[in-house]
Amino acid sequence: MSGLWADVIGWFGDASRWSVSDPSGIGYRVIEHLTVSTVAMLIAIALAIPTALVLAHHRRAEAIASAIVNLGRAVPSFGLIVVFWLVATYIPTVSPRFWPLVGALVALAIPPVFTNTYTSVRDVDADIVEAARGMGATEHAVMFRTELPLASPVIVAGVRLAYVQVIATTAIGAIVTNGGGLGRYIVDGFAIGRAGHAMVVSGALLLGVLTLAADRVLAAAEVLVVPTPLREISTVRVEGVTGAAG
Amino acid sequence: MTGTSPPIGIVRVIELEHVTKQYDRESAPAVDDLTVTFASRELTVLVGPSGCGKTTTLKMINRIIEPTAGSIRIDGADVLRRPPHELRREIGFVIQRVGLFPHRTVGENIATVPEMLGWDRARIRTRVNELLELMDLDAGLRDRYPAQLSGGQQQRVGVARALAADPPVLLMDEPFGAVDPIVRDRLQAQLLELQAQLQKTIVFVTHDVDEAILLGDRIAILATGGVIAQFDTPHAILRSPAGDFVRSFLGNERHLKRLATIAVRDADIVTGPVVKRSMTHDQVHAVGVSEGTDWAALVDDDGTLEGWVWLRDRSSADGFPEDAIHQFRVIVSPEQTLRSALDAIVANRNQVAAVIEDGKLLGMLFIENISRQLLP
Amino acid sequence: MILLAAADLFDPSWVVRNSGRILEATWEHIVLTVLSVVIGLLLSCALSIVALRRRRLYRPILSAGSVLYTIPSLAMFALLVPFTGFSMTTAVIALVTYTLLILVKNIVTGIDGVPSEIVEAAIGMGYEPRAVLLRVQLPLALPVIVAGIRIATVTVIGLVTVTALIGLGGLGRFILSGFRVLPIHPTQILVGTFASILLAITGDVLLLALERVLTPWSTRKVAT
Repeated sequence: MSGLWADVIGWFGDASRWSVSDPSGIGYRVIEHLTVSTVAMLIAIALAIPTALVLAHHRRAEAIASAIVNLGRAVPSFGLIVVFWLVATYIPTVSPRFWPLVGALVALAIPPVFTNTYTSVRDVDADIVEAARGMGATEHAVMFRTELPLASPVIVAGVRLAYVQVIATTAIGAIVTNGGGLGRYIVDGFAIGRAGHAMVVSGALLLGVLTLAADRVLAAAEVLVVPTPLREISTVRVEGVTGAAG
Repeated sequence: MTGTSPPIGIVRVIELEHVTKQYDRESAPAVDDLTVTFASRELTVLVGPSGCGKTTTLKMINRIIEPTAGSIRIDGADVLRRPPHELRREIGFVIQRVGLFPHRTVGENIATVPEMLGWDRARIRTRVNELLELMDLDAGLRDRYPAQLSGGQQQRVGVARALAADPPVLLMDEPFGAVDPIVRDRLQAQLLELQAQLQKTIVFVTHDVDEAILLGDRIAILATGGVIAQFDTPHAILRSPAGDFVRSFLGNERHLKRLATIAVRDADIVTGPVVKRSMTHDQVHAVGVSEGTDWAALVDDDGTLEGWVWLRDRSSADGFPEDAIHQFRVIVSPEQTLRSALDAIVANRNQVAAVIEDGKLLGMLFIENISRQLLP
Repeated sequence: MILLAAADLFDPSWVVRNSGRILEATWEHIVLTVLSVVIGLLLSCALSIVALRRRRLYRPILSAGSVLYTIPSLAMFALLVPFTGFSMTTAVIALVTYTLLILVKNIVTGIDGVPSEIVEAAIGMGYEPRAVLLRVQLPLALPVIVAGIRIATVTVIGLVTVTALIGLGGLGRFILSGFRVLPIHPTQILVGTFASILLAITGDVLLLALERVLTPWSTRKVAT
């Protein structure tokens, strides 16, 4: 065992490892990892939040909205990536390394973001919305100036949760593509066998640290984005989607 | 019945001696050095404003709240000596929000303590049926779940559950506070009937002074810190309140409240002007003279009230013709309180009520008689 | 399905020919899932009891569970492999860590959610603390607890597919093998993916049915 730790420390100690330009370098792969994850997340947010906001505001699609997260959870992330990749092979113009993975990640991220947005907007106190309307706000203003801010703690919590899942799943993308960010170390390391143990463990540590760091950053962002008076709420309702009510 | 009242000879006196409850974060004790005795077979009411420590005191008796100092003895036995859960199985406990177990049927709820005590199934079944009847609940409710019952029914199941193992002591914490007034009146009446029958030692907490006056054999009025401002029968307290606190707590209509503690039967009922059908003209005239009235109640020979008549309407031939008989506007029963009798008289803009039992005229109640009750 | 077959993506005959292997893989999938959820549940019960007795420990326990949940499954497997190899042990240990957060949270929340007057009545009537927990609080907390178990189960079923990387995978085997073979064999990929989804949905529905069976009082109509 001590041999393993020595290897790991040695692995990290190699300065050239940390290169940002070399495709096999840690720096490069971290950037690759975060790029894929963040792009996917942004697309998911752009698709899910407005849709959920509008649907919840008009009280439509109630059944679908609550079912969607359960359905999303039932889909194995590994299968999702491979299926997207599979479909992509039939579309010649698409780069097999980037877009299928992003597509799968977007599909993965949408359910939690959608459901959190939907339920939190729906649960905004009806009296407040009525008061806003009574004061002459347009439906548009009601949505963006009243419902959205009030729902923001739970929405941001959902985004945070989804982002963490996306980062985790990006790593699995290494199985399917040449990319996959930090997952590359793990997958390659497995392939080599015993000699690759150091790489595997190192990759795992890096991946773990990256994910936890991203979670922390988003937690901080959560506090900043949420309007001050509502900040108490966000600490209580962190895991909106995996929440008790199921 | 499997036990209606404690066998004669078992006394269930509850004695609190120098009982104090001090919470860590508070500066003043919730209950400060309270010494009081609740007599056996009596319904004692603890009443007072919010925060006076009445509920805390109650809950120390069955150790839901542990006293910081002092001793509590039931029947001479120190409650702190026994394992709390054993103690509680011998004390009935009824709380405001009832706390029926939603996952058990009504019957299973009621059977809770008997089951704990290991009664056999047949005995439990009999007892549950007895209690349903006692609490005026339809036997068909036994297999329903609490959620399917109305508020009043749930409250009655709660009381049945507390009575199931026939505990000699019953603790009740504002049990009727959460139901609507009509239901509350029924429940209060039912409790009084039950107590007359079962004779338990009951400690009853309420913030409602009228409820206290209605239910209590004796009332303890508590001020902040569980300090007893006065501890006496309702009648005595109302007649002579001990100090400003008690006076203000009793509220403005203290004298009317006193009337609520006296039953018509125990009051000063006079016979009043009464004539019988069979009386002669002269006899009728004599009644008018001795009573000083120009009217009288008309009864037939066995005392059944027919109504009242103007004395002058007596014709020499037929006595009183049918159209000369008027009905009393106000009729009260001997069980009513003087307060409700007064209310009826005033409401009908009258001055007299006929007191009737089983159709027979017992006497009459004039307004003057009523106010005379209030003389010391 | 028909569309896919037409597009030459799905080959029903393969399914028929390999039904034995598919069933074996399904069984492996189920075994991994049940083992992980059951062990996770036992651990979570223990942790919950600690959290309920000593409130100050609740936040730290949740934080620890949250950290474990955040660590990607791939990383978790990777960290364990050098120690426990490519084995069921590795898979189960990792999978269990993903169930802890949701289960502890739901057990504690469920028990806390039992109305205080019911607990007070139970104590007042003479139940000892353990009886209050087991006979009153636990049954009433079941809906919330089972909801947590459902989420944990569905999550684990999805994660089992990733264990294909360490030689297991249940139905994930087909996803991996369908992809690693040359030429790519879409049928396997689709079978693996959709069978896994189906298994997850079935598990969810079965647990929901179990919950209904265990809580007969909640299915009766409420008096208005």
